[in-house]
Amino acid sequence: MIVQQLITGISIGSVYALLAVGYALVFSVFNFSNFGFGPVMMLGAFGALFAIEKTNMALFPAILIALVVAGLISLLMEVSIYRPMRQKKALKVYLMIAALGINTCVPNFCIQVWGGAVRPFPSDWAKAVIRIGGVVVPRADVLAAVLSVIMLVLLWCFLFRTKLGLGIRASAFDSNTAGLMGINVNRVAAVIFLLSGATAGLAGCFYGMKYSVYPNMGVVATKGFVSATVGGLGSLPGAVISGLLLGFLETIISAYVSTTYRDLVAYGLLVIVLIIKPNGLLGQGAHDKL
Amino acid sequence: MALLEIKQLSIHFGGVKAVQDVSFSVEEGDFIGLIGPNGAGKTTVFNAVTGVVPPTNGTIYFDGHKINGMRPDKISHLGIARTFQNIRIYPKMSALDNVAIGLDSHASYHTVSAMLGLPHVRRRDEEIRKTCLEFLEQVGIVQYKDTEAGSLPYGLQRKVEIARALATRPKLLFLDEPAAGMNTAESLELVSFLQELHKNTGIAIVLIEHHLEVVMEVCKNIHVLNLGQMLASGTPKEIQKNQDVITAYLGKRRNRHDGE
Amino acid sequence: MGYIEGIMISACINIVCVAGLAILTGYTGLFSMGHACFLCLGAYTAGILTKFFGVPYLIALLIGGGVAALFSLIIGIPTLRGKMSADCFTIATFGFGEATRVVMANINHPYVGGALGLSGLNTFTTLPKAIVIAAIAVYFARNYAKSQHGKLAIAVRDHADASELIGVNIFHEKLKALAISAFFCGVGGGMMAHYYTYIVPNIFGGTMSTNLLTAVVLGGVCSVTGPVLATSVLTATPEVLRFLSNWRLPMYGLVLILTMRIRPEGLMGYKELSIRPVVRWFQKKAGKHGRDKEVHHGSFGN
Repeated sequence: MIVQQLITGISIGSVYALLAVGYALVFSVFNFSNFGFGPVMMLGAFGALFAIEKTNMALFPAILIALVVAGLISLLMEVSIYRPMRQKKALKVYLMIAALGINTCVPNFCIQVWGGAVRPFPSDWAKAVIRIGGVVVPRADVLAAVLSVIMLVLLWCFLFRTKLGLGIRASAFDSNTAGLMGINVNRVAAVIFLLSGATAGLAGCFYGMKYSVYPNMGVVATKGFVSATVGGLGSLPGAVISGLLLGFLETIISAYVSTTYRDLVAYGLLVIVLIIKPNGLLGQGAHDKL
Repeated sequence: MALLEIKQLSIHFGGVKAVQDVSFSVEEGDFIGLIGPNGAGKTTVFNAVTGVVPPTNGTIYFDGHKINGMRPDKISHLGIARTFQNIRIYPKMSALDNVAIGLDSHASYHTVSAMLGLPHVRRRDEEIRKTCLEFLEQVGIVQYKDTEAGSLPYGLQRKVEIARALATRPKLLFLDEPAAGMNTAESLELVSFLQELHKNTGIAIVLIEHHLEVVMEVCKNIHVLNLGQMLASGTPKEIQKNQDVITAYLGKRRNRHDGE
Repeated sequence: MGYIEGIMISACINIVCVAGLAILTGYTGLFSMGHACFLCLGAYTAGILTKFFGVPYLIALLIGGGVAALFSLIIGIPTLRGKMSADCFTIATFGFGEATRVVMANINHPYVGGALGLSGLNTFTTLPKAIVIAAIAVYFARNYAKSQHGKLAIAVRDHADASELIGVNIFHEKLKALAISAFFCGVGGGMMAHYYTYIVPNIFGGTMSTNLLTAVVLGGVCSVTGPVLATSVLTATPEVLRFLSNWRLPMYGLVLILTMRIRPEGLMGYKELSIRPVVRWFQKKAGKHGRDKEVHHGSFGN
């Protein structure tokens, strides 16, 4: 039984971890929370869903499509909304409000266009279960865990083993100086939004497989954000760890306490961590350079 | 006991030793210059004294209170005010309202009375206005009282910032590169302004400045920092002759491996 | 006329809430995604007080506001301390909003009524009362915003670190703005309860929070009357243009994005609508017996 919970915890935790990493990436460089990830994740999932429904595509190419769709939409957000605002040196709160605008506009627009109904993710392969010993594991859960790890490893390699990744880390350290040192901050931004969008799209697919696909599914991205905050805003390892932690806690609470309060675990955790460690588990405090 | 007493102050950021074992003191009515090449740790000393960064080691006493680790607003209420290297005024507020923030940083009437708009609130607001005008007068920009501070020219923004700092009624004033971005004529004007200010108010002033002619002109004592350590201290004349200081300044292009 | 009256009462309720939220978001620069929970707390408190304890309407509203303000401290104290990022506050408000709804729906005490909510309240919120309360709320919020407290709020928003160095207790200022906004929203919630006569936890969701925020953002920062005007227009528009009502939320989202993208200070940022120029104009006109055809130069005063 506990093994079962553990696996469910890992699979839902990896969705949170992917989302949290996306948040943390954007936050580490631009210091604001992109609430627009919810819609990106949702559109990625819909991309995969439509690809499978319309063309009978296999699951893996469909996931790839989700990655591309979500990455491009995220990039579009950056280029059309955030970049011009950044160039006007908009206050951080303005960026966050714009992001909330995206978060309100896009899902409700999709509800008007596609209807708000819940759709099952059309993949029989993912629904099948694997039996290991006495434990029944849905394939989707295994897939989520494995692909998330691959994605995170690729991301890590990119950040720490390539020149562009170095530029990103330099920008995260100090984007003004990075700009002065000849790092093209706009290009860094484009790459970051593309990558974080793709991770959100992947998370959307897993969430869709595990539950279902619907325009308001992006709400779950707020839990990714909670994870990112708990882990320490801008810290990638923190985001992964607390995403998994949140997944476990939720699974355990809904199994042994009550499903009603499952969704409150995230916020309870957030408040407790913020009281004990105001900068999050692995975060560092920052202050205005005077 | 001196007004400000800094003993063995060290500030480390991770592995970077931004300030190492710096000690100096400021007496009442002093006018002290803090100079040194870029990255010498001058602003970091200011930041430690005003509570922005916690000291790694050492103690800071101000007016008989130990202030390391104290919250910046509390330090400010003890009587330390400062201006900033990059101007930090409230751009959309009038010059007068900028000063009002420094003057009444805790709002001296209650939230509820403010909402009700009680008579004593209006009286107090009027008092604040009058006092702010005096401070604007003191720095010589009273004619810009209702101008949006952000639209004022650079030099006047500096003065708004100084007026705001003065309005907190400090015993000690830290000025972080007030002449930055000024030409020679403007810095000369600043020199006479600072001398006048010091004479009229008697507030102890500590000045960070890269324009050495300004520092040499107005300061009674100068401390030179280099690579986070105290290199020399003395009167302007002594400093000008000090061989270490000359090397640090002229040689700074060659051995620049400092932190910032 | 009942229909138009209904729209006007809704507008008045929104005005009360928005006047408070303007101080939090427009002045202090904190951005909340869950202010509907304060309406919820105010609505339940006031509703229970009038229904089960026979407390007079106005007193019930004030207590409702007070309860909301108290609960706001629960979010504020851990998330507004020290150098914590504003993001923490924003996400915590969202979480608190969700939590309030879930908890309310699961309290099955007869006073609260669980997911079925509280019904059978009296229609105490009539149009004249609503207008008077809204007017008082706007008056209070404006007084506050114009006072030293309002200036300190702007100081915290513009340069929090520098403000702290000149003696402003930024935690205190932020907390104060939050509690005031929660109080106004609590009062608005109480009014809402006594207008609909029944309340269920689910109406106090993210949509309501977004509606309020949209009005504040569109109306403009550092302005009370701007958001008030904006919320009146935003409340009336979907009612008048019924065919648009389904598109209300996508449009609100679009309004948020476009405002931030094009004019982030909002329509009336840093300006207040004032009747003084209009009055002066009328006086002038009366004085010259209408000979003067001069158009008054805008009705915006600071």
